Formats: sequence, C-alpha cells, structure tokens
Amino acid sequence: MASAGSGDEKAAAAAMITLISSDNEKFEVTEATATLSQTIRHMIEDGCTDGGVPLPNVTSKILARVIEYCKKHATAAAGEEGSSSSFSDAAFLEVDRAFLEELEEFDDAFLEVDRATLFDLILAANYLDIKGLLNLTCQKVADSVKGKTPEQIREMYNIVNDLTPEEEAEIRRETQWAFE
Amino acid sequence: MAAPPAALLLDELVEEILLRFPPDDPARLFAAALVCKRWCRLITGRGFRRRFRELHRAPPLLGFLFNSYGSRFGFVPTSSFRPRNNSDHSALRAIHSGHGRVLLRHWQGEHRRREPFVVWDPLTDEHQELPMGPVCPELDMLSWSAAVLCTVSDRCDHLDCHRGPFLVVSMGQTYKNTLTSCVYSSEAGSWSEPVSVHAQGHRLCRFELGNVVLVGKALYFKLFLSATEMVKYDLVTRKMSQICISAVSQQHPAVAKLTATDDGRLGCAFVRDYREAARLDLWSRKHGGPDEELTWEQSRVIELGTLLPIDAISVQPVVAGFADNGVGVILIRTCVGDFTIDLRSGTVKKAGESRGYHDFLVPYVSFCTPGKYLISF
Repeated sequence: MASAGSGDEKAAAAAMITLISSDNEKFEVTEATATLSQTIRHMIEDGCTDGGVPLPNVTSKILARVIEYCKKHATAAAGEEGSSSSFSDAAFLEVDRAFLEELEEFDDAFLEVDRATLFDLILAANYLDIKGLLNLTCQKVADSVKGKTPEQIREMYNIVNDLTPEEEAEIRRETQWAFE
Repeated sequence: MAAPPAALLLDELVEEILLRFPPDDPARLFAAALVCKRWCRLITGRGFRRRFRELHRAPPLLGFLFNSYGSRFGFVPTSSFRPRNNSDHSALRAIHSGHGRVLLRHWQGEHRRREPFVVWDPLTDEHQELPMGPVCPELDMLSWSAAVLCTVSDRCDHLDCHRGPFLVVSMGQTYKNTLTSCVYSSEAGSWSEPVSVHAQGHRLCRFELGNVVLVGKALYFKLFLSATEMVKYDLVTRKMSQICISAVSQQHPAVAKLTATDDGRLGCAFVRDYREAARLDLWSRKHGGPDEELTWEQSRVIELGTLLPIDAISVQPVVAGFADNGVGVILIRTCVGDFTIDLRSGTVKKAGESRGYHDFLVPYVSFCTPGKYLISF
C-alpha cells in the first residue's frame, strides 16, 4: 500500500504498520492512517505491533475498504492541521469547507455498498473502534428505514418477529399515532 | 429466510443504529419498537432516552399550536409526531409551552366565569386541571400573560422533564394599575399568594399572550405598544421589574417576538418590509447596562426574498413564534401559510396553511421516544 505521501520519506517509512486480515492478507499503512482505529492506537502505544497486527475478525475485503476510509480521513485531518497556520482565516475557512465537501462526497460514494458489506463495515468499525466510520455506517442503516413499516424493516434485514400478538397489540395501542 | 446480519445480533450495535434515528421522526422509533423483542427492549430500555438526548442535544420542534376564537386549539405537525385524537373537545386555547408541556385556558364565553388553567402533556395526552388561583386573569386583570416551565433547578437540563414538577407563572396588570403575579407549583399543589407592585412611571399597556421567553432564571413578558417594553419575572427571587428600552435602541417596531440567543441573552425577532426587501431582523440585548434598561443591538439579518416564495412576501409576514430550548426555530406567518426558519441551518419549510386568527403560535418542542410510560412491558 502507498503511504499518505507527504513529508519526510524516512519518517513515513519508519511509521508504517502492517495489518493482517483474517484470511492472512497483509496491508502496509502509515501510522497516521492506522491510528484512526483506537484499537490499533492502543496496540501501538503498548508496543505490540512488531511483526504486524493480526485482525482475526476482519476479512481482507472489508479491511481494504476500512483502510480506504482511514486513509482519506487521515489525509483530510493532516491537511487541515497543515493549512491552519499558513492561511488567513478566510482562506482557511475556504480550504476547510472544500475539505469537508470533498470528505462528504467521499463518504457518500464510500457507502454505495451492498447491505452485507455495510453490516460487515459496522462490525469492523466497532471492533477497530473507529468512531467516524461507525457513525457513518450506523447512520446509513438508520436512514434506510425511513418511512418503513415494522414488517418492511423485518423483511429488509431478515429479522424474525418474536413479539407475541398481545405485546404487539399493546405497543400499537400505546403508539397509535405513529402509524396513522 | 436468510439469517440477519451479524451486527444486528449485538445489542450494542443495534443500539448504535437506533440512537441515530432523527429526533424529528419519532414515528420511526415507534415502528422500530415493533420490529422484534430485541429492538423494543433496547428502545424502551433504561438509558436509551438519555443516550438519545445526549447524542442529539437539542430537542426537535414537533409542531405548533394555533388558536381559533371559541374553539379548541389545533396542532400543526412539523415532524412525524401527532398528538392523540382526543375525545375532549372543550374550547381550550393554547397560551404557552415550555419544557414539554402546554398551558391551556378556556375561552371566555358570554357567561364570564372563573376557569382553571389546564396543563397538557401532548406526549401522554394527560390533562391536568390546576386548582383555581387567587386571581382570575380574564376577570381581575386588564391584560395578562402566563407561562409554564419546569421547576427551576440546577440539576435539570430541561431535555426530558415533561413528567417532572412544574411551575405556572401568571402575570397581569390589574384595574388598580398594579402588576400582579401568582405562581402555581405542582410540588406544592397550590398557588402562591398574589404579589403586587405598583406599575411605575407610566401606565402599562397590553400584555401580549404567548410573547414570553425564558432567559437564564427569569421570564420576560412582552408588552404591546408601551414605554415599558417588558416585565421581567425573576424565578428565584420571585420579583417583578419593568424594563424600558433605552433611547438609543428604539429602532425596532412594537411587533417583535421575544427570543433567547445561543449565548443565553434576551433577543427579539421581527420582519421588516415586504416583497424583495422583506427581511427577518434578529436583535439581542447588549451586554452591560442597568437591569431595568434595555439596549438592543442587531445580531443578524436574514433576507426573506430568497427564502420564501414570492407570494408569501407580497404582504409583510409576521414572526408568530420562537421555539426555545436550544432549538432556534422561528415561526413565520405569511398570507400563504406558516413557515419555519431554522436559524442554525438556515432551512425554511412550509408547515401548513395559516389557520387560527391570532398572530401568535405556540411551538411545541420535545424529545419523543417510546418509553416505559408509553409501553408498559
């Protein structure tokens, strides 16, 4: 994998981390990219990343996507930090806005995945403790049930209705207005 | 049937998803509560409401109430929330709403008689008739106003206190030219003795119903066309004071609606001009200066020409309401309908036809999540 690109090449090379997916694929990433994951950050702090970081819960397919996300967001964060000192306030705001817009576009495109991948990303974001990615993916699922009936939600996500008819009737009675 | 995604088998992750449901679409959470036992248990479980509030911070504007002379108030939703279709059709009008409750009062018919205040919780549809107070606004007052709010406490963030103790502050000008206030406390279950002060300097004029705002630990009641701009009611000392506008800031018209600014200052909003020139003026109280004198400074101007349809500004619109509690939404009444303007995002939405005759609307702001009080298992 390529590094984030900027700065001293030696320092960048020194700060590379190897991530190992459940199917034993190796991914080289910069420390800046890897530490968007709190889980990996803690491992680095504890000095247990020699020989690579095994991630037995994440497949190579999903890990590649997660790294794609982290790279983009790590670059954006670095770009913002770098720009803050060298621009006037107005110019900085302009750059800031452009970054945010670009990130938003990236996030939208990033979420164009099938349902199974989306939920795998949620699991990975949770396991790796990447707040931004967890927020993004969970929000996508929350948005997907807009205007849906309970039946439609169950169908979408293969959920079995285990409420008894009595319980269901009680909830409906109490919350009638929500279904008008 | 295929298995559900593994992420949906973990309470923690299902909750992460449910917490991100938008607060202005409570129907979505209620639908989710019917999906299965796990979802229902999580949504109605301990702590969900608190975490939902903490994540979203500002409660949503669920809708607003309008009054039509002699008949029961109406509710215009600005969210998926609908109050229950109540069988009670008594002619109540909405006076004020604060901290999740609505203060109601009977219209006075031909037979003028003493009627109690009613406090309504739109989420649970509970109506609580208060005991008769020592002062009847319609019979003992030249003009009056009133407000309902959570009992003043440093412990409450006022985001989910609609079931807790509350106060009703009733304020008016008597025929003897005194300012008189009474406070009902739900904890005491009774009204305080009326407190009166002589109206100073000049005759007061009409209290404007619904034009009252809570800033810090004081309520500000606006007066109409008067040298006394408003009456401040200090909720801690229970003292009233008249506030006049300082000479330098008398540039805003009398029809301003009181607001609260994000940094906790008193503010006001009004519409100036019409057609292309129509604009929403937002002013805030200038820092410093004596308590009984008020200097406004302009804080923001929003051009309405680009936000509202052209026919809506053919006649000068009015600011009919302000949704407080960190919401920052202004209700604007135009000749083609009511609009909400979100001061944070700048979004404008049409909320409905302008119904009711008063130029004041009562915004209803509250979080609404299914809880133990709505679902009992």
